Amino acid sequence: MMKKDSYSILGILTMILLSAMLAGSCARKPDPGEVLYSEFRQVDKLVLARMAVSKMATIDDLDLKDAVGLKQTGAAIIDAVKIGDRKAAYSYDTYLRAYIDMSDFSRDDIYVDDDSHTIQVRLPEILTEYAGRDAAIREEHYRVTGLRSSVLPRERAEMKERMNDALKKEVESNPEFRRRLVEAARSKGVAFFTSLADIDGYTVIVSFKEGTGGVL
Amino acid sequence: MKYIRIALLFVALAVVVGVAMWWKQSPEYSRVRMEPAKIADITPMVRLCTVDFYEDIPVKANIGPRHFFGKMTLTGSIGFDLETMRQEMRGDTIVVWLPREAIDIEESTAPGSYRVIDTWNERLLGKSGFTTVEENEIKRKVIESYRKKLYASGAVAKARSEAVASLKPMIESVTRHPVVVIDR
Repeated sequence: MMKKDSYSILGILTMILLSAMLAGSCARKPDPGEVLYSEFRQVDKLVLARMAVSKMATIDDLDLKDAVGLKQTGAAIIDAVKIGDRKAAYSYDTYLRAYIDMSDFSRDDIYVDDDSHTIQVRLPEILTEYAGRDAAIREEHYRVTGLRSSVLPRERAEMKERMNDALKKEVESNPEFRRRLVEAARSKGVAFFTSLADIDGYTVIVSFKEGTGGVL
Repeated sequence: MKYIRIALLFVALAVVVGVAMWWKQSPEYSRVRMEPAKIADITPMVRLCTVDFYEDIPVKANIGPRHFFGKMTLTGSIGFDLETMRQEMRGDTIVVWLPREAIDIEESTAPGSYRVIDTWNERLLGKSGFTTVEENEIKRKVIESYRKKLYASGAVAKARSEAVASLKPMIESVTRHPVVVIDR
């Protein structure tokens, strides 16, 4: 009797243990990267210029004579024995924009001198940011022959991710991108506010506050 | 004989360690080559943006038996081109008409903004790939559907009312005239 009871207790314990193991393997913790994020923000931005920056990348076999080190040499040898060619080129545009935050603009930023018929408008600093990139990718060239595999969406997506990283590094390390964007924004801002303010025949002087300049 | 074996063992071990070190230190390979980024265009504009959005969207589509599933992060803004804004003087008052909204919807530049999670074919030996043209068309439809969602959710109407509220003090302070902003 005692032996039978111990067998049933052992059986129940085994069941509980198995259930716990099964539950543990089935329960999947949500990956933070998988959560779909959504944000709508009320802003008061006056965009004065938009820049399109184009980036191109090619997919091609490694050439044995250009290979450096064991990994590259190995990959180049494998590419050389494959039958056919696999060459493609893709490009897309990324957009940067320059804007002023109008929530930082108030009546105190306007000085009117009725004696000299002059209005001074002091606008907020020009900020810059990434406005996004083309969702579509341009296929500039595509030639896959023989027994080579076609370029698949996942490979294109990974390539676009790498192009995005490289583009950001280039834009952030080369001040010329920001300088040209801000220059275009500055002249547009001056032209627009001058035409807006000179209704009564006053001379309009438009300037911008200085600051850090945004994310670029 | 024993010493020869030990020596051979040491040589073999040294070769294995040497190859492993060489492998570890050799540069990574990539079949992708990048061209330098180029400025394609600079467009001056005067666009008042009152709503910015950022949203992760699941991308689901099929072309016949081929299925596509991925994730895309959309970003953009709802704005109003002030250069096309109609205005007239009525006595001392400036009357302006809010122009039609300009909605920019782009893929975000944040890391991981576009991921292809799965592509498959219902048929056993069917191809599961999608061409660039097909993939672009899938994305275009996702963006168009998102644009409709912006109208249906009231985001565009909200952006318009915010623009009316923002334009009035801005023009009044610069022109020193009373301003009436008309939506539509």
